[in-house]
Amino acid sequence: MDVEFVTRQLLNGLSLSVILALIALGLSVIFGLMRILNMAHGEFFILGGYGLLWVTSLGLSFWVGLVAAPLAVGALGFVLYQGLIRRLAASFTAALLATWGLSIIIRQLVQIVAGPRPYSVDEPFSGSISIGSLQYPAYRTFIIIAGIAILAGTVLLYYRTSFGLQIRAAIHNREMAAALGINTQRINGVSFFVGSALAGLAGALLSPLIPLAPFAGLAFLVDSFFVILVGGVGSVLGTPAGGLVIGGGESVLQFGVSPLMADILILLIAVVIVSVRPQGLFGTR
Amino acid sequence: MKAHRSSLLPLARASRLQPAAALGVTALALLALAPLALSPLRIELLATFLTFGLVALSLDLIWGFGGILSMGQFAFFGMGSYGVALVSNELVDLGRLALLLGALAGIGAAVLLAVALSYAFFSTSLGDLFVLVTIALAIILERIAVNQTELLGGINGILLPYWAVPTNIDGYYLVVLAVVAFVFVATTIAVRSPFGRVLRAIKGSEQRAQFLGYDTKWYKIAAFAAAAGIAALGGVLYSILTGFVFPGLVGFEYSFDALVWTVFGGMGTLYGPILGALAVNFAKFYASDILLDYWLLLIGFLFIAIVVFFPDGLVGIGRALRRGRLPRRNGLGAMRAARGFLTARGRNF
Repeated sequence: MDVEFVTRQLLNGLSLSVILALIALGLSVIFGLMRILNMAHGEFFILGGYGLLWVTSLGLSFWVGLVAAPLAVGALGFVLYQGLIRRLAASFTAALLATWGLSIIIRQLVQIVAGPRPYSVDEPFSGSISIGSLQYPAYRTFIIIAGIAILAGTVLLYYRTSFGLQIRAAIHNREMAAALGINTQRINGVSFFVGSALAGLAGALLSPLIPLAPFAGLAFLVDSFFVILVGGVGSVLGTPAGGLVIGGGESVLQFGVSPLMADILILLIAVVIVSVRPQGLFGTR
Repeated sequence: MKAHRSSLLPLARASRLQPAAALGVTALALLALAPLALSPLRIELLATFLTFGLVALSLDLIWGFGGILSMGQFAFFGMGSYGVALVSNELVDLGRLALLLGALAGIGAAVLLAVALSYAFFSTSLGDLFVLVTIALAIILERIAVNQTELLGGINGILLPYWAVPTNIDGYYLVVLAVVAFVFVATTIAVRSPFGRVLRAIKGSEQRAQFLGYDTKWYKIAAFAAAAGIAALGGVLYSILTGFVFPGLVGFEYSFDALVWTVFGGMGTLYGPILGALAVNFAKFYASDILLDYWLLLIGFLFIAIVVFFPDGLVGIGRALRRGRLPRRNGLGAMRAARGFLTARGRNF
């Protein structure tokens, strides 16, 4: 095992962590605010990828798609929230079943419109950068940098703005927050928009690296469940940390053991963390 | 005191119980006579869906009565079915005895795992998020089943020895029916016992139940383990019936389907989920050939329609019909639910 290999694996782990954190962020904040486990969140992720694919197929550039697709997915999330999910939010089960229904509907619509075959998206730039003696793909480096920048922006928004303060107040105690005049409906709506858009962005960012298929969202949804379990629900700082544990751990463990064992070990680690700290690494519940 | 108790549990009142029991016996008799009227293929389907019904019933036991949602209930079903498949292939010499040993191994493993998981997590303050643990369980087991090719046959699954599969499908169907009826009666007795009452109290408010002096954790562990055993029993019956087990049986998709069966049939009744499993699966069997991709689309809309219009499921619709009128003041359940939906009632602030 040479240094190059180790560095490459670590960087791969980092890019996976960033993607997982982007997906899990919305899931986590939405759960923290509304006690809704949005099962359609994985579909927002793949819709980001498909949206980007559609934009580039119109002849527009990758970068237009990278901006437009997440915004469109965010708008879809907002509309679904206003039209359906908000009305069922009183019951954990009702919202869960309805969002799983949405997940199936979106998946099948994608399959009917785009076909079941996986698509691939071209990388916007090829080539690689050298880190020491290691040649690392430039696009993966871009994902890491862009992802960290967006996560940092979200963390700042959450901890350093008055809107972020309102979100935190609503997560902590929504009745009290509402009583103090915070418009919790608006916060829910905005969170749905931003959370869905971030999932769409993750999908768009990752689309050149994965086969884009209607069912690709499920695996990411499940992994992001582990991320929020480990990171703590509704904790914006905990989500990237959870992403690092899950995404990083998966890549690092693959040194020594088979991918299957790595999966199982990661899940065991998650289980241990959760049983020791049920509020997650950074949660305060 | 006596009067107070019966008002707590209207179901247990004798006046209500007798017509219900009569109805149950009639339904059972009709199902038992089904082989006379239906082709072997349909009987096999009916038996298959009854084994699924056991999973739905087990889900109702923990979710409808105890408020513990499991989105990985098929993990236990899969453990039961893989248990039979593995042991019967390993101990071929023992013949039918191997099936029994496999069943015990599968069910035992499922119950042990359920106890371990629930012991680890019910003592923490995980709350609703326990759902994620159950999802994780189904996912992990499915990944193991897919990737473990030597022992578990990987994606291809395992065939049971040819002699394990019943030749007399009608007879086996009756066995399955008898087991389902037995489990239904046993769980019905359990939920009406003091144990069941505590379980319902926990669903209502775990804190209150604790305050009344109950060590709620152990009640939840017992319910969760029993449900795992029932689901695994379904898996045992299934694997012998079809002679084939595959990774999907352990997985996430089936576990979610089980939620639909349970909710569609009607939670908190124990028989509703069995009816739900039969209805949805028969509909799926006949409709998916015609509708293809659109079938799943329909299922997606069905999910939403259930929670919007029929939160009480088939049983709720049946009750409304039996009342024979749509009381104006209270409104029919579906209408009321729909109105609540449109006006976004509930926690709307």
